Amino acid sequence: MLFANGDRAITGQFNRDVIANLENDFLKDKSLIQSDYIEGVSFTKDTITVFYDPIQVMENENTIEPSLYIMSRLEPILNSYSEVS
Amino acid sequence: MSVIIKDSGLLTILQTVSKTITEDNNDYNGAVDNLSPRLANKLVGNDVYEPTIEMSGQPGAIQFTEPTIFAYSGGDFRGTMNDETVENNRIYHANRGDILSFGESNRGCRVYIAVAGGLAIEKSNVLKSGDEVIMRRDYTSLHDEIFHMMMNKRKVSWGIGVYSIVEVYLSDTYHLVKRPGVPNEVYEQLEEKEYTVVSEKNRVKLTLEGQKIELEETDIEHAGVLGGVYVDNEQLTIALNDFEAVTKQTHIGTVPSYHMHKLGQKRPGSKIKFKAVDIDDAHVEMYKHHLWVKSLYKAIDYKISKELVKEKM
Repeated sequence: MLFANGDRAITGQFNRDVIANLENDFLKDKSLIQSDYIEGVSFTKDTITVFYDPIQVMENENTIEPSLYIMSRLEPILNSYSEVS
Repeated sequence: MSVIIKDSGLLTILQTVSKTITEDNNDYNGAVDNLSPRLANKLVGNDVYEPTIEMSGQPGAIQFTEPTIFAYSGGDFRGTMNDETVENNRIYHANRGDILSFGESNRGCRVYIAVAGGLAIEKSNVLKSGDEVIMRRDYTSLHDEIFHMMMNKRKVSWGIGVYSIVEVYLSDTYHLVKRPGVPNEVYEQLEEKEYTVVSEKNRVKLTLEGQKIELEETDIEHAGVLGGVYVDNEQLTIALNDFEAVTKQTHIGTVPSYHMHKLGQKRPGSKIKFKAVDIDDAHVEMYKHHLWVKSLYKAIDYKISKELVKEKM
């Protein structure tokens, strides 16, 4: 489950194995989740939360749905981990 | 030369506007009301993201040790300097030895003091009585002009009027971005009645009293997100800047960034009324707020330039 956690964060809630593998790989290679708009990434045992700047996304990408833009970038990464587990 | 904390009040801290990672061991998790420091900085000619002194609850007093241009913004605390009244959202010129102190507040619980040229600290950013805050003196040509403009006066005749910011501070209605998986009945319950702030754990969270929210307990570890609304033993809490990164409390939604500044001015007894919104609506409101802030910056620029022209004539 991937959702807008307020107007400046996207949270993905997955099973703990998926999150653990993702966090492990992210700690080894931060470029796994990287974009000009992403300001930070945090993990819990059940979630990954990505913080972003919605104004920049709206202005640079000419969109009124910045959360969808960020989610569309995160989904392929998260899906690849869900499939593996 | 520096600014001396004469009385640190309840909590005085040098704080950045947004969360900032630094190499020292200080917590720069951002100003709880992140609009006020930007306005105070704008008034004194600083970059709007320059760190300011955040005083919470019962603000104390500071002493200037050299001629200084300053402004403060935020809660409606009665300020005095050498027995003269000092108002928020206005540019002032302090002389060596002047003491700025604060009395009771009619509204709000935090003030943000900006000093022209910026501020810095050498040790902890949590300031105690007697601590010194370094004046960075990173002066620009605009600062030089403001200093010149203020040379023979204590204050300018204008400020940001209450009418300009009333809309973004006085409303008790807070948007709450819905979270998938939370039953609609929860949002209906939340919107039904007002909540009252019972306490604030300094910069960490607000605890609310009102209609209890019953939810099935889970073992999920949620991310502690600024503005996150959580249910803890049927009681609501709202995460402020220093909230824990991980929480077992049930997350039911998040207050968007464009309402966080007024949340930062709530104090025990304040009322809160929620309105659940979808993320698309929240982003429209956020962008409207962004444009409003930009227009306010422009208005301040215009007033300062007009004042400078008047001075030169």
